[in-house]
Amino acid sequence: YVYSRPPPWSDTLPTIFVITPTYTRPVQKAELTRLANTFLHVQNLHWVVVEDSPRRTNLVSNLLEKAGLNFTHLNVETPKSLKVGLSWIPSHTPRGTLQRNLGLHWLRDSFSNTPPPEGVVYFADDDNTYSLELFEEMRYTRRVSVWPVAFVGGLRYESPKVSPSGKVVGWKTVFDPNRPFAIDMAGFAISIKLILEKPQASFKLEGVKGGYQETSLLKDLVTMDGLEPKAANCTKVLVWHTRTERPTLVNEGKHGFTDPRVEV
Amino acid sequence: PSGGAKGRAPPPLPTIYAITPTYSRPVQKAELTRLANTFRQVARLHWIVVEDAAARSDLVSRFVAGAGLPCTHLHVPTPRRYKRPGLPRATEQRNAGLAWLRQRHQHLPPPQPGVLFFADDDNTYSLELFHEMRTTRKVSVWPVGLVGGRRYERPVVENGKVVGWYTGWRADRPFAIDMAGFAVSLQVILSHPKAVFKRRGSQPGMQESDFLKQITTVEELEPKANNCTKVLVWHTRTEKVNLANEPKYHLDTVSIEV
Repeated sequence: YVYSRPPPWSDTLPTIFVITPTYTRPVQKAELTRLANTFLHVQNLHWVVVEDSPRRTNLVSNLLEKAGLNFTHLNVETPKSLKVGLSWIPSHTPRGTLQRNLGLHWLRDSFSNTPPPEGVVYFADDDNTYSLELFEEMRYTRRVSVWPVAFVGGLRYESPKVSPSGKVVGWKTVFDPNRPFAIDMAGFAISIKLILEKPQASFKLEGVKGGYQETSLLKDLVTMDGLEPKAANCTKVLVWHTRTERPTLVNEGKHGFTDPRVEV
Repeated sequence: PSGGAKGRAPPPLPTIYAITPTYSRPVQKAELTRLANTFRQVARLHWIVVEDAAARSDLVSRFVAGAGLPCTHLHVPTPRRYKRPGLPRATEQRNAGLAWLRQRHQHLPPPQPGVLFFADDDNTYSLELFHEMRTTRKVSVWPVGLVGGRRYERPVVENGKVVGWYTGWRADRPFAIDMAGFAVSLQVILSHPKAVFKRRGSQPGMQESDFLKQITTVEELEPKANNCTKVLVWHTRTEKVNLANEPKYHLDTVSIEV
């Protein structure tokens, strides 16, 4: 079997670094497979896959080796509790946070700012759906670009509010539209240059209110009027916040029925 | 071949026909998008999209026009009386796909290498699966992940032949296999013009079995995916979307398709 290859790498096209946190569960391989099938279309894409795991798993290693994509495979485990002094308190770090930060750390470790590489960072959760058009929209981001996202905030889509002059002036959301950045993780991309210019900017680990994760990073990078609206001034939906049902494995029973050596 | 070479050109790659029933709901465009992203990686794949609808919708028409691979856009509505929970779904749509294939090929001379399979719009397909199914001579089978209440179901294979079914549900069915677990050669479909998915007399969960017994025997089945030990397709399902915050009044000033 000859595995697919992405389009040839170009020295002149900005690179899109896609940071995907992922964790072990039955649908993981399926999610990563269909993501890979999408990314294989995109030129100059570098996939940074960060497992929430104490070790890099064989499942993800093998998938990445075979997929044909340019990739980096990292891992960091989200602790279930944190030691504070002598006691343990439950960790409230939202899922994916440590993993995304590790992705940013790897970028800062791997690239120097003099001169900064041409490229952009995008946080792509492994269960969302991405159109190919989205990647071309984000590729030439100067600082931070934004666009609508479907199926978040209890709406068909949430979107930045864009003025006739093409500036972001607010947020079309029902849930807490007064957040500094009322936008989903899938709705923005950041230039590598900016990530390297502001090495302290990362996602806050604790004490982040629901819906403020994105703000915790973006507030240190940009102000609202510095945002670049994409997707036809934020009138097109190019990414969907789909979620996959947890499969019912009732027939596995208490001790497992199927052969665990058969990878799913 | 260069002058003097005696060999014939290699036979063309058999076309893979993917029959996808689809219906309107919020995640439809997302599902079709990620499916297209997979199918576009596969050589000579012809996508037959069949809407459960009385007329072609604008959304799917626009989608098909820009899909980036050969597409046929059909539609047939499911009769009201068959839209009850527990009844098989997509029967009319799959049959419409079969009818189109039969009609299109009836006047063409054999051989017509081709393979068809039924690709529900929320499943997940690895690229390797298409490589496996392309060599189908009559009917090929393989494991399906995340179905039947198990991590996977699969045909049991001994000495290269299917001898039973490893399944979480009614293993006594003649063909205890999910819709995503088999492919049929075009030749077999054309030579069995009456083989369709049935409504009358069909029990729930028997769709695949009732269809396959019209066209093949267990003995004839071709096991793929390393004698049915690798999972190359997953029966994923997408969560229903939460639209609790959609306003009844004061709608947005623009009309945006999702």
